[in-house]
Amino acid sequence: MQLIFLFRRFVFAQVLLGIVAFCIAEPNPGMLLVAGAIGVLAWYVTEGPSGRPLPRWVINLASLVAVGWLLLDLKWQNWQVVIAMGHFTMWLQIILLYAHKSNREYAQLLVLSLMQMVGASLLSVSMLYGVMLAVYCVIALITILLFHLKSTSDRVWEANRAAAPRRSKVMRPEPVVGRGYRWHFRFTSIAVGLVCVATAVAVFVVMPRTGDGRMAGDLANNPITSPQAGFSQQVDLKSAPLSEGSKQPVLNMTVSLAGEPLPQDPEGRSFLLRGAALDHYDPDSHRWLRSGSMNPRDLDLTLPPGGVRLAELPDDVPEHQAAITLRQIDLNTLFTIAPVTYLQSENIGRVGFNPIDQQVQAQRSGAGAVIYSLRWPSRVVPDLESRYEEELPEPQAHPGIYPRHGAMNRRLTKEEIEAQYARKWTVQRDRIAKLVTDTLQERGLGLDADPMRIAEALTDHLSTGFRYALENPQIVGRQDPVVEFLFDHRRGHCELFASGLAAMLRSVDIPARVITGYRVSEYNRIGGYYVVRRSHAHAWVEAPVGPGGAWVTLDATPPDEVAAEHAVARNWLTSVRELYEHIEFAWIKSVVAYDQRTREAVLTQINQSIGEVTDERESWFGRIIAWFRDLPQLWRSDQISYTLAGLILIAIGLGVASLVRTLVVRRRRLVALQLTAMPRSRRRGLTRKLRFYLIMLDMLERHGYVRPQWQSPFSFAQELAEANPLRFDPVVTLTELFYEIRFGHRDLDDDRRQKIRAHLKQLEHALAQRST
Amino acid sequence: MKHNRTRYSLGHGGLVYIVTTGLILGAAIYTQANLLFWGFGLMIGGLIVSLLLTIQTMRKIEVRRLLPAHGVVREHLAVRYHVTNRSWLPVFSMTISENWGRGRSGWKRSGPIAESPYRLRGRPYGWVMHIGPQQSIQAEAPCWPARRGPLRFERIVVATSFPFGMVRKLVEFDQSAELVVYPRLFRMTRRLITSLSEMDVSGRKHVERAGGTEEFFGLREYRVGDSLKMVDWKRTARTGEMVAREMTQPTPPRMMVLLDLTRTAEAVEAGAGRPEPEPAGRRRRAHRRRREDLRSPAARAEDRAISLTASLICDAYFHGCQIGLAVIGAACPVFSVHHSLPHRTRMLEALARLDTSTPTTARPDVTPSVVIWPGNGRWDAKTARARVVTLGAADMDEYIVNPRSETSTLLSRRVLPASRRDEVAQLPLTG
Repeated sequence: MQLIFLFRRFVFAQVLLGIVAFCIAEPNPGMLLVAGAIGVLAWYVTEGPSGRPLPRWVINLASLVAVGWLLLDLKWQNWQVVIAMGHFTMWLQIILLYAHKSNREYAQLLVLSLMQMVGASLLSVSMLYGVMLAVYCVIALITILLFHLKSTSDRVWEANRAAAPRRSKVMRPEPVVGRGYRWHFRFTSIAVGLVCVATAVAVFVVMPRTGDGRMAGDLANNPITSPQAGFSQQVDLKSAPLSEGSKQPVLNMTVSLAGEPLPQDPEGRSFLLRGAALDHYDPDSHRWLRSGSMNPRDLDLTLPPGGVRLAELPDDVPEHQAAITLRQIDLNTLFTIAPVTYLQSENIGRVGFNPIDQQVQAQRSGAGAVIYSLRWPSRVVPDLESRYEEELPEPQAHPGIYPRHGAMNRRLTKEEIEAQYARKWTVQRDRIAKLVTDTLQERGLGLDADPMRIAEALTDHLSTGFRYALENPQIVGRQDPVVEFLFDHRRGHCELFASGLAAMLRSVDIPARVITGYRVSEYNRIGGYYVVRRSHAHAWVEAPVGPGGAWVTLDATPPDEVAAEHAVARNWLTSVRELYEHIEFAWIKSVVAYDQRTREAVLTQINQSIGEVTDERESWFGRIIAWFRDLPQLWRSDQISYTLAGLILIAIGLGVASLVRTLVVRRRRLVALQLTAMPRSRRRGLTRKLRFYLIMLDMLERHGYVRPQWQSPFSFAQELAEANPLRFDPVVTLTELFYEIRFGHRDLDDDRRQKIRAHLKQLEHALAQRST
Repeated sequence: MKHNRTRYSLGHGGLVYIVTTGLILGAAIYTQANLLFWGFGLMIGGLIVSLLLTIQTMRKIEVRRLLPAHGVVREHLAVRYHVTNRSWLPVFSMTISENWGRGRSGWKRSGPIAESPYRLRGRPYGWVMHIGPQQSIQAEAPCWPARRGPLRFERIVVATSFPFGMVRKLVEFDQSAELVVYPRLFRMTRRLITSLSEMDVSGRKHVERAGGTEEFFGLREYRVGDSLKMVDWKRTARTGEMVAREMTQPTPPRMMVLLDLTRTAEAVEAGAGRPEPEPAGRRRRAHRRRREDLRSPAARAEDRAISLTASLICDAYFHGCQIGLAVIGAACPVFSVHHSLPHRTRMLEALARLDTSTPTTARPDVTPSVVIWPGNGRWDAKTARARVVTLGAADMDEYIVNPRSETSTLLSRRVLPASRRDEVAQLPLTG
């Protein structure tokens, strides 16, 4: 009884842990609160002092409600099957917790819980979920072992109860145990767990990765799992600002200059990590978008393990280098610092790069983290665009994944691009131009001044004269938000500042594009890297006002207020959080970001280590490791293809042979049951009903009594009965039953079934007694 | 002990496990989620460890069957097993069972009803949760014999599918043994036993005779050799002659039972040998499934008579009655009237092994006081005074206590449940 009670507790813990883990993976605190509370209450209701399970009809009704909930949930979740099924399995488990549970219900609970964890593993890559998964695995292991003991005990008990006479009370078998059973059980559990973990590590390391997972991309775009707040590939001035995101880390970044790690600046150095470059403003929807003319200019680049040089820099220009670990690759955007001159990644084999707007996108849609590094010049380099042209090939037709916009999605010439790119502004252009003129006049400048000075003046005008606010200002009527910001409200968030500056620059024919990305300022002192959170999302402007027309960054948002917004209050909790995030960073680098390239590197390293230890160039273990390492290449080569084709052919051959055998056996059965003349539709049911006759023939055949095909069942039975009436009396009865069902159109009801069982058993005994 | 064979089989749990592993692999490849690769690795680890444990476990296990002296029809029969694990690995969740005949399930390799043997209601099943390395334990598997006669055990089967129920390992040991199953025993009514025991072997009520040391019988003249203790000194003083007291001899009740199986056909014609009434209601179907009495009415009637005889023998022994047994219509030795445990055991064994399928015509030269036959015949006070009392097994319910009880209590060592204690206490003490 102690064993059973222990098992029930473990099942309960496993199910609850699964529910909590799913809610954390989703993440859905509301669901966690509701489902967790209802789940915990189940223990009191069913296992409490006066606890009893709910009636079966209530359970069935609740299950029907859960099915209805699944359909609604699918609609609410935008047909995200993983999330909806996760919720469905969660409710089913909770319902089962309230039900009377036999071993079948317990098995259902365990399978449902496992399915839920599989779904949760698709949703989350966080370390917290990983820890919960590890704990879950330990509890599941113990639960399964206990379940095995309990189910075996129950099976034996059931068998004894079935054999016992009526009204006799059969007690559950007392566990017979030897000395030290607790220690042995613990030792076995630990050994099983260790072997499982060791195998899991080996499988995890050697399993080939394709890097083109499908479902995770959809999940990343899910509005629920991936909140709108934070980075976006477009700016919608009517929605919430980018910076209203959560504190969830997005990426980690270490920065070095000329190979030397760059320590944290005590004055609070910040970087602007650019994601999307938006050059087109749609006055109708009030959105900044990337124009379709940019897509054909994207270059499809292959990233070798050593990285790719995008542009050569003069020798006297030192380069900054950043190593970035993107925790989850949403929207395929790689965050960079313009102008990018070098790219390298352990995870990504191909990237799309546009030298005009400097956007980098990963050619991968899988889940998980991405590790990459980039370089950029430490100072502005004039005429850098021509250097890109020297290094990079001519752009091919590249299927960009950014939004395209109808007629603009036409491949433009270089001249057309230079004439049109990031220049167009139509919303109250004259009014804004007058505002610019006035602003410049206040600072003693004119429109003929150096564009850099104009840009700086306008930036200064906005950052000093306007107020930073996170909330979205009210838009009156159909007024444009940018115009409202510049002339009426004079307060807003970073997107409005960037939009206002871009509008002002464009109104005086200076090209400008709005950039969305992250402002990097928070430094993790334990790990020695910068941390970027969703709430660090930012928008700014780039304009070609640098030396030689180089694009420079212009951030019009009041710097002090943004810095205050992103500032981290340092206390003991900060250190704890930094430590946790550092461990999570290690988890992401080693587990979540593990992919084909990392795998190859790890296996090569193992192979080399084995070679060094054994002093053999090619040990057998090393050859296995090398084989595993080269498996994806082998997969593509002919050797593995031929092997695979051979295996498939063998499988097909076996399948055909099995099919032929099945058909032959079925034909023999039909002949034996005299069903060949019957319509096909009726054969199946009758074959099932008359199976007992085949069994009888089989039993007789084993003892040497074979019915010839020419002999009717009745004459066969008669012949046997005449030879030995006592022994073959059941054959006569069974043959009569056969005729009743086959030709008399009688149904195989319970009475006949019992009779058949009894006579088969009697025949079995009669044959066995004679044979012994 | 011969270590017969080892088998491995993939159960339903194994199939579910493999399908689940395949699903996780498919999900991992489809989504490339690294956590699913971990999960797949764990499942593969479970598969490997399960295979390794299954192969290694029970490699040096020894099992010895310990049978009791006898069993009784429908009485709990505990088959015990002495299990020794000489391996370095502990064994968990091991089931112990029995197997008969050829093939894995007895008599044949596959089929619908390879169940327990003829004389058992079900296969005995025992469960051992744990045996440590180099340890021995004793396990028990209960079973309920269904028919009287010799019950042969052929093979012991031990099996385990620990840890995950994927692969089941089954080891069979050829180990033959035999056990005699007594006929079904009932407790007889006290009135019947008391009345029958007052008769001697010729059917008359027994008379106390002089010559013993029990009770006062009478006075007679003193004879040389009489003990001085037996002299009635008062009477001697009054009469002047030596007068001695005479005491009664001990005359325990005696009973000679004749089991008459020659008139079975007549009994069957009169309605004997009908199957036992089925319970009504929801239990009916389960009852029918579990108890399919395929014997002919004649065999049923004969078994009932044998059961009544055995019950009478047991109850008579219980009450200190000397009893003998003779059978006509079947080959059986004659047991003279006697009272001892071996005597009772020999009679029960003879009844258990009685072969009614080969009728004999030999008539033993005995004078019975009680005749038991398969037909009707109720006992009453009138017949009790007759020379020979005839008891009909068809009316056995009249002679036994709680005829619908599935278990008797004569040979069972179990204590009566409280509900039945009251029932027994209300029985009349005398006829």
